[in-house]
Amino acid sequence: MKRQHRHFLFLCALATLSLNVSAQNADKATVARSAELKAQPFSDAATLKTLAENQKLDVLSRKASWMEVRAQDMTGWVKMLSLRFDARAESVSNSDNSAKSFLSLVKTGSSGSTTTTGAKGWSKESFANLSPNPDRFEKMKQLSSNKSDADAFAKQENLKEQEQAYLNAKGGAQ
Amino acid sequence: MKTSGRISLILAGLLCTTHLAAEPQFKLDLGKAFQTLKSAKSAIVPLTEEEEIALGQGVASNLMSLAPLLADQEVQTYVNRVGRWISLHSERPDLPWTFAVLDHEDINAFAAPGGYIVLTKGMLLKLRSEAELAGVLAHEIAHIVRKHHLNAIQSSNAKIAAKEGLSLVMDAKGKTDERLLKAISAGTEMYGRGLDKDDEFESDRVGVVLAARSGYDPFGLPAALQTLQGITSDSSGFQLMLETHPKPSDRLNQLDRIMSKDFERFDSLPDVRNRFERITSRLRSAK
Repeated sequence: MKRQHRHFLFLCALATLSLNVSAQNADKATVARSAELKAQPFSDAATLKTLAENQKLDVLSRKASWMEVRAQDMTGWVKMLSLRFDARAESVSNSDNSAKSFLSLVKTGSSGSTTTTGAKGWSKESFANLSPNPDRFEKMKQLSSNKSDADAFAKQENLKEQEQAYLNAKGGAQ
Repeated sequence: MKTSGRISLILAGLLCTTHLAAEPQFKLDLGKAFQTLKSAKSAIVPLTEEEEIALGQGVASNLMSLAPLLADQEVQTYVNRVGRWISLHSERPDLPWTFAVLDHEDINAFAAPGGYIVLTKGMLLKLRSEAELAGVLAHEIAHIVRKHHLNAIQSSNAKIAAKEGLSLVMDAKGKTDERLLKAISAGTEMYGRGLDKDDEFESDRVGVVLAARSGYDPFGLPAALQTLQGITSDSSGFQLMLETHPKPSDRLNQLDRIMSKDFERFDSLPDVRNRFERITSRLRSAK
């Protein structure tokens, strides 16, 4: 009994820890239209609750068309396209990366680096009067993969080709 | 009927001559002719595949001057394999499909006619799985398969040519052809302005289908779009992408509409996260 209790406490601690970690890494999203929170990423899984429009939640992971989310104290799965991601200054999906990329920008700025990979973004004008760079283009051409290469590459991960017709804007077959 | 017949004749005249007819009557009709030009696709002579590739090579070579190639060979090869695999599931599997990652923090990707696709390191670093990369590349591949840039370049070129009284016929065969150079230069500038929004929506629709056909979790493209949706518009490196594309929320709404029907049957397709993370890890840790 005692041991079980300790075990339970340990699990609680672990859960709290993982909640904290995921809270740090989580993306914030808003329910764009009312959606069901499912126990698992399947349509026929048990419905835990109905999420109301405009409810805020944390996104933990994605599995195909499903997002694992935490809504208040409940964790479950919701259709990804029923969510909206709210713009945040340094938002990025993988906050780990965003933090790093943010840091690297700061670093680049303070070191006075003059690399072309700085923070200055492209604009419409960047594309006016560009001149060809044949050397780089030759290098680019060398990168091309052939069909058998691509085929072997797909087999490595067991990618299985599917049948799917093109769709028109309403979702009907084209 | 009669009027449109005359306009066609005028267009045909424009097509066939390199000199602007001096008659006043022609000048009067020029404005009308321009308006008609947009819808008169038949007035634009289709290029052969060879010509399309020559044009695309010129545009790609220009785009190469935006930034150096990312020096990570493994990443470059990887992106080429993903892209080549997807291209095999399109109607144009035999184009010289070639992909390059530019060493630049901007978040963007460009498709040049003939099969040349450029992606930025900034974009790559926003993605979380091979399926997301596949979704983005499939969107670009769709632009080329549906000839979006090619048609836009040709139609804007036709307008310029008509304005300048040059031949509308763009002959890309001679690589030193001045008209080809003009077309390439005008074509490259177009990447700063963006395509028609409908072309972007179409590429999203084609993109998710190509990703699914290739065996990837097709929700990679919407996942990438949701990531972009979460970036503020004033974030550096994201402005051009926002200016040249429909809003991520509008693109997501369309994908919601078309994928909610039966794309759930693809829910078991892999997102190939591990391979993506392994190959891009150096890039991420270097940041």
